[in-house]
Amino acid sequence: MVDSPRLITIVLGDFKNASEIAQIDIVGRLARVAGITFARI
Amino acid sequence: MSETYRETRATESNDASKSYLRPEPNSLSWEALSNSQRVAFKQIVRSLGQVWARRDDDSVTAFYERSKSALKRVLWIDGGRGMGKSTLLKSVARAIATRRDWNAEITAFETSEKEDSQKMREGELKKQIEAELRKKLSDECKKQLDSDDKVKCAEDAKKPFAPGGELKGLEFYRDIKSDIEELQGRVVWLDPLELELLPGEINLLAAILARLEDALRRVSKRKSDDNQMRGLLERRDSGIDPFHLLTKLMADVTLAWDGNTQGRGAHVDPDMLSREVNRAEKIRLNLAAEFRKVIDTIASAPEWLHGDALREKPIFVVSIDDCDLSPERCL
Repeated sequence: MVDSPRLITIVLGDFKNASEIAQIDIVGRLARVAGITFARI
Repeated sequence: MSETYRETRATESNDASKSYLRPEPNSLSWEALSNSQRVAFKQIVRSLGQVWARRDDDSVTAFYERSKSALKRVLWIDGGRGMGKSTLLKSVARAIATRRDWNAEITAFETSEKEDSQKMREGELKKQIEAELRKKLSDECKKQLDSDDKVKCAEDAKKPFAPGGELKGLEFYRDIKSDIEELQGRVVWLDPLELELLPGEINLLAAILARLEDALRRVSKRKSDDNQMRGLLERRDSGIDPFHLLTKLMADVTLAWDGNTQGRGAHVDPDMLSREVNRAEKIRLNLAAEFRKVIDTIASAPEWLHGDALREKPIFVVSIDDCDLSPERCL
């Protein structure tokens, strides 16, 4: 994974309204990068 | 409540009531954030604090040790359309980037809270809230007003942004105030990547590097505007030119991901093709280390410390908006 200890990425998205395929995709990817910090508003 | 603060709030309120269009996301004061936004605010600040605490953690080079620390530098903020995700992020950025404004607001908020509490005790505000509740609240709430549960209903009215939850008020903010102050002058916010506006095919790493270069160029320009211009061939004080490193890395990123060797395979001399493929592979292999090196060099650029912009080598924050529109491009 290309990253740096001095770079943080904040991803904003509307998970519930994403298409079904996108949701499956997102869940899979979130699982792959397990440990991601998650906040819901 | 201080007069200046009252006037500002009143002006904002009047302006908002005249508008018929949905405003663009903008930063809000702590007072105006919803409960869930405040909780997410805290998570973002705490996460940035953790990244700051581990900012020099780049000694690990083995691939099997590298991945653990990498996972913790991605935050996911989930929320429906118009719920205030971008607003939240701008509010956090503003709280950290423009320290004086934010502190002034908080001070005003603190003052207004104290004065409101005083008035509440005197019964003035309570009467006002009850009058408003009778007009605006639901039938169920009105029934409560007519019963003995007036105080509870009035308290609920004080937290319109907190349905079903405990109000994350000033105490909640005080809990993270020191974290915010710790980050002030140490964070560079890069321009957000809005997936809705980007073309279908995009190299995300190149997009981040372009934003880094843009941020550095802006502070660099500010410095050169204030001081005597440096000649084109004049050496930098630090000896290493971060712009040069960035340009080289951007070229490497393009070669590693968007190279055209496969398409040209049938028309190129095999030896030449072999050299190009090997070169691209070597670039890919070293890309992670090069990326870290370049970020660290950019963070070390003296331009950041010019004026009162930053007080130390910074960390960088990049946000990706509307991820759900194209998740495969941002995770």
